[in-house]
Amino acid sequence: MTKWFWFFGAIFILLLIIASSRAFKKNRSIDDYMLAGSNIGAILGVLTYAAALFSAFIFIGVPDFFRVHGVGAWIFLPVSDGIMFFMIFWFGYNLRKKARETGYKGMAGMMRDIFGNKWAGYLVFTGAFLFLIPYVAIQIRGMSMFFTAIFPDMLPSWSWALIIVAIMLAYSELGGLKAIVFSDAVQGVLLLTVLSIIGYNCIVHFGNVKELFNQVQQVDDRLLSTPGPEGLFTTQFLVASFLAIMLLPITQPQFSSRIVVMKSMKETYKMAGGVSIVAFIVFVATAFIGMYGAVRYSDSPTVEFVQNALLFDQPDFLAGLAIVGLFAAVLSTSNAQIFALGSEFRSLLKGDDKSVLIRTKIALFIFALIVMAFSVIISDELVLLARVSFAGTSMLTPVILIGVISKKAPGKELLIVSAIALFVFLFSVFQLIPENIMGIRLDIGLYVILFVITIISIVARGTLRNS
Amino acid sequence: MKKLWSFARLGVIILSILIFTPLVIPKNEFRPEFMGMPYTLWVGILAYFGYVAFIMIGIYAHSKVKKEEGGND
Repeated sequence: MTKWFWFFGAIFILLLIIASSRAFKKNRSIDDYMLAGSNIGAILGVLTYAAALFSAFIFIGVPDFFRVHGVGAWIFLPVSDGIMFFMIFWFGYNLRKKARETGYKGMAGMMRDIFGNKWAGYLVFTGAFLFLIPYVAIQIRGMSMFFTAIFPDMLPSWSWALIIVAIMLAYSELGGLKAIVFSDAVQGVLLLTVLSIIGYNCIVHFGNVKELFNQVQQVDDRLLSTPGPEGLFTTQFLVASFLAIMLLPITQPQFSSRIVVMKSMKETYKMAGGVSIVAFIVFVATAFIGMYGAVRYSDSPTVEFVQNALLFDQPDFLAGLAIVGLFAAVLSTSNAQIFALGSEFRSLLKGDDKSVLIRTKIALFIFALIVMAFSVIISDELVLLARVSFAGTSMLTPVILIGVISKKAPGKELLIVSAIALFVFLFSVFQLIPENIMGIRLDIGLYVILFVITIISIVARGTLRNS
Repeated sequence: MKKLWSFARLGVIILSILIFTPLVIPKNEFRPEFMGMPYTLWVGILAYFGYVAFIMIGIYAHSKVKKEEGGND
């Protein structure tokens, strides 16, 4: 396995170098560096969007979620992603239109210009910063855990985090978004290939799907329905997750920026359709890997399950490829998020291109250091932390969504209510405010309040255009 | 074509409501099974296919509607 890891790893690093050097030659202006010349075609678009979405979270977190909580995970994630892919082209159309009108540099800067209020920009940037940093950190944490388990005597856990952050910084600083998109394409293909084969092997191990689920039933039949053995998948939890995930293309800049940099709306349509198909294959594979783990590693800790199911139970070459695939997944998702934060930061800056580019690169470096520090102290619950990130940024929906589809400057009340919701949610994460109030989840309560105030605001001000 | 675009949007909304009813997530119930898969999983997969279908219909209709309006880039 180790020799295959080095073999595939060397090929992967070579591809990264080629991607960076190709992108480096072409990149001249800051827009080329930050927005890849806004010239991404459908196939690259599908792969880069999928790579930004699927990460350590999908490699480690989702199979483990199926294993521990059962088939309700299908409603939690793939079904929620289904409507999110619909949002790509509906919201994407409006976003691209607005981006053309305002000259997009990043969502924070665009909101500042639309609202005519610098606090709109600061709010969007703060939301992204607060909730993307832990999300990036969990990717790196997941990978460090995995590598330390596989190669226990090679390097301490933090060294793996350092390596990934160093590689990430090196090629993104050199090649910009275009290099990231190229590396995403490699990762997307790797992820699809590795997970499909492993998922198939997991079914073959039991002979067929029916036998796999028969054995799951013998282990714990609560895995076959909601709310699952630990009672996680309540209707409220699923609805809140559904809304948070549905809103990702609106509220998380690594996704909105990928919509903006597409060559045309036609390519964006193809991207939305393509991602929905790629995602299905990936999710089916993770479901079967999780169910396989529920039978064979029902009482094992996450790391033990993942290393056995993805590596030691697989042929050596596939295990080697899986390690590289995980490394690539973490690299591209973390990079997408850090770079998106850099774009948001840049969109708030003023000055000539050269000084803005230098300050943005310094900011990228600082963000990466913060992420690395955070990855050492963060919890191991990958999926639930990712969900917190999705839910946290979703509190900015009234600002961004109404900002994008409005025909005139939206009211400041949207800024105030979103800011309050963002910090109330943050306080609940730190358990300063209860997560449930009178039997209702706090995030659902916040969504309802945000929805009502947003409707009142747009009706009273006549803000919307036909979208 | 506008009707088709409205149909896609309405379909997505109705599907999104149905998902959270006992029709898709009956509590502690995994029968009837289909191809060996428990109820919530295979109905959830059907729901996903439903979204994909509405995405494809939506893309087709939305692109035509916006083209008529001269809105696509």
